[in-house]
Amino acid sequence: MKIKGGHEQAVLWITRLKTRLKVVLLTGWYAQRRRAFWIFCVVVGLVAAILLVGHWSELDTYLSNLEISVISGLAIGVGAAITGIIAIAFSLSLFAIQQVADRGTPATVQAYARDPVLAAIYWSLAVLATMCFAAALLKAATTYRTVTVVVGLLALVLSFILLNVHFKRVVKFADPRYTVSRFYRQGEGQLKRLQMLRDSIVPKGPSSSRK
Amino acid sequence: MPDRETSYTLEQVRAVVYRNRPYIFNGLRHTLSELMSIARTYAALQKYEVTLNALNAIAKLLAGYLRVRDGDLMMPSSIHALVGPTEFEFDTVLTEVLEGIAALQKTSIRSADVQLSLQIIDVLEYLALQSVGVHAIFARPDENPTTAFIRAYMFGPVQDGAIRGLDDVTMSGARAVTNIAKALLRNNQYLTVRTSIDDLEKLAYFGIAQRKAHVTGTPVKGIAEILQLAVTEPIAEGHTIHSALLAEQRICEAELQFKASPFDQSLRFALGAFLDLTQPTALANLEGLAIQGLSAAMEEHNKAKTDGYREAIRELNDDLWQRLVAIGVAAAKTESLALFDINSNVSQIVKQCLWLFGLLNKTKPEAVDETSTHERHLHERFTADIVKELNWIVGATYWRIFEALQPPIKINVVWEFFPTLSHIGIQALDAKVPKVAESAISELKSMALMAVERPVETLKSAARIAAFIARIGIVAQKIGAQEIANISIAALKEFQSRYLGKQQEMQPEAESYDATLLNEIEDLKDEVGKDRWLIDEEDAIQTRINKGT
Repeated sequence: MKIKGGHEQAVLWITRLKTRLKVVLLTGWYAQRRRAFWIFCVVVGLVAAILLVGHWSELDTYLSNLEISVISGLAIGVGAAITGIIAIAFSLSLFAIQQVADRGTPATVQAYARDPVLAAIYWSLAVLATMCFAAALLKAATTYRTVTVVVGLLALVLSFILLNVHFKRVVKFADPRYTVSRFYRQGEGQLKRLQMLRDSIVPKGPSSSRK
Repeated sequence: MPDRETSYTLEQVRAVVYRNRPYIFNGLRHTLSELMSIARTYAALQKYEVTLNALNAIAKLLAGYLRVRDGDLMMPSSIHALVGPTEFEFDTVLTEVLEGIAALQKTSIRSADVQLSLQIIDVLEYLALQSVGVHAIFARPDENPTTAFIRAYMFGPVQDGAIRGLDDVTMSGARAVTNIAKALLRNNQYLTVRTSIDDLEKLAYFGIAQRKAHVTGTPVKGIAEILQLAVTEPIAEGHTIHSALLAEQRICEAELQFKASPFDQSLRFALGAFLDLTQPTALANLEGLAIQGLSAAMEEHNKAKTDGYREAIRELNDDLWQRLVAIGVAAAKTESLALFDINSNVSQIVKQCLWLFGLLNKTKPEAVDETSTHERHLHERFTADIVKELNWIVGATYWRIFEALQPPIKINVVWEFFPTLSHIGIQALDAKVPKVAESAISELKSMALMAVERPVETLKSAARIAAFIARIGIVAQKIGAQEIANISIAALKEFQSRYLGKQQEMQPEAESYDATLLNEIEDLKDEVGKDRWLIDEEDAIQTRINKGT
């Protein structure tokens, strides 16, 4: 009888422990999800880099068996894909922004056009596409083949990440509150500059007084 | 030859730099204009979370701008309004934004968009509060043209909302103006406070005209709160108390013109903040606060504070009897329940002033040198002022109100007056201020005689009123104030002869006449004989205290 009671008690404790663990994990996960995501990305990147460096010679051997046209074709294809991404993503997002601006204020379009992050995404994609096209022109040496493939695939992955950033940014622009906050930050900067100007104004001569 | 530039202050130099180079602010102006455009666009779409964001951003940026321009802000002061060129120079950035906000506010009021209007009021209130500490280049220390400017932009549309019957807008506007005025008062900028009180008064009239007690009540409460602050944190030579009291008096007079049905609570909601003793901002409670403050300051031997509170009490009591009469007369004409409140206030004020009189007598400073002699002189002058005003309140208030009552006079409307006056007389005797007791007797006599000519329900009521004179006389006799006892006997005799004369005039052939007064005095005599002459609990407490001492 005593043993049965002890067993029930142990089951109860374990259940409670499991529940608490779940709660801690779930709440902890929610609070730390962004950090956890980046840690995960870094770990995956490191593993991929280690694998790539470790199997570089095997990759070289494998790629040397392929025809040259396949490698340059891959690089050109990736470059073209990135160029396509630029064209489609930017024109579609402009369409969405235009619609938002129609319903709201033209300030959204202006802010979108002047946004440095979007400009940086555009130029990054452009550089990646150019790099891919340039990689297609590399000599047919085995090492260059591997470099071309790695650069091409890396550019593709990077362009997907940038596309994701672009998407999130455009969604932000669709929210007028974000435009307000941008203007507010801009205003804060202007006030700081005015404060500096104010501090820099001093009257000539020693006899000037402060109220 | 001195360098001309050196004679300018730093603020003046900055002001000149900014005036000659207006493009310095172009960036900020553009940002504010963009934000204003967003607010305008989304206001039409009724997307309030966006408008709230945009308006808050504007307010915060403008508050930052005002901080940057502290000391060199170009705003015309009241002196500019009186003398000098009529073309005023306002700060352009502030004016542009306020114009935009006011236009949006007007549009929202026109379309009865209360939500947006409330947002704008909140934002302008925030901005006005932020501007309280900002100095304009030409402003006097007792005014704040920037706050007045912002408040003016806020008040115009609020007034418009009041005209259109948007109660929430009116009430929110009144609360905002109150908060602004309180902040200004804390900063000793009382000239701008007075214009705020004027604004609140205007809002109250809208409530009165529309017969909306809650709308009237909000500005009344606002003015009472300003009054409370002026009394608890007094400033020298502010005249804020006068201004607030006058506004409250006029509002009360206007509200009391309208006759309310019995048991109607609207009066409490409309004027309660100023008249209802259960509320902390009621007139008598404010007097109490000031007296309490004075007592604490005297205990601390804080001269500056003591002077401040003395001035506040003096200002509060100055012509207070006239204000009470004005409100009372208005209430009497409509037989309003406010008469009860006025009576309670008078009773409480007199009680507190008598206590203060006792305190002042106990703490009279010794005259040992020039400073202490001066202090003693001030102390005596203040004591004399208190007694003088007390005399007026007791001796000149009630009969004037009584006179204003329209016949047929209902006894329940004014019955509280007589025991109160009797108490006042007894308390004054106890506090050794016989003059006030004399005033109470004189007041009771006047009303009793008036009741003979214009009976309060029945003629007997006049005799019952006169019986209260006897109560004071009995107490005077007991404590040995023979002069007052004689005055009360003389008053009773005069009344009795007039009372009898009136009865004879009414019934010349009657065999006997009513002797209510004599009967009442007989009853009191019996009670005195049995040592049960105490009139009620309050008198009993008073006597117990006397016996104890």
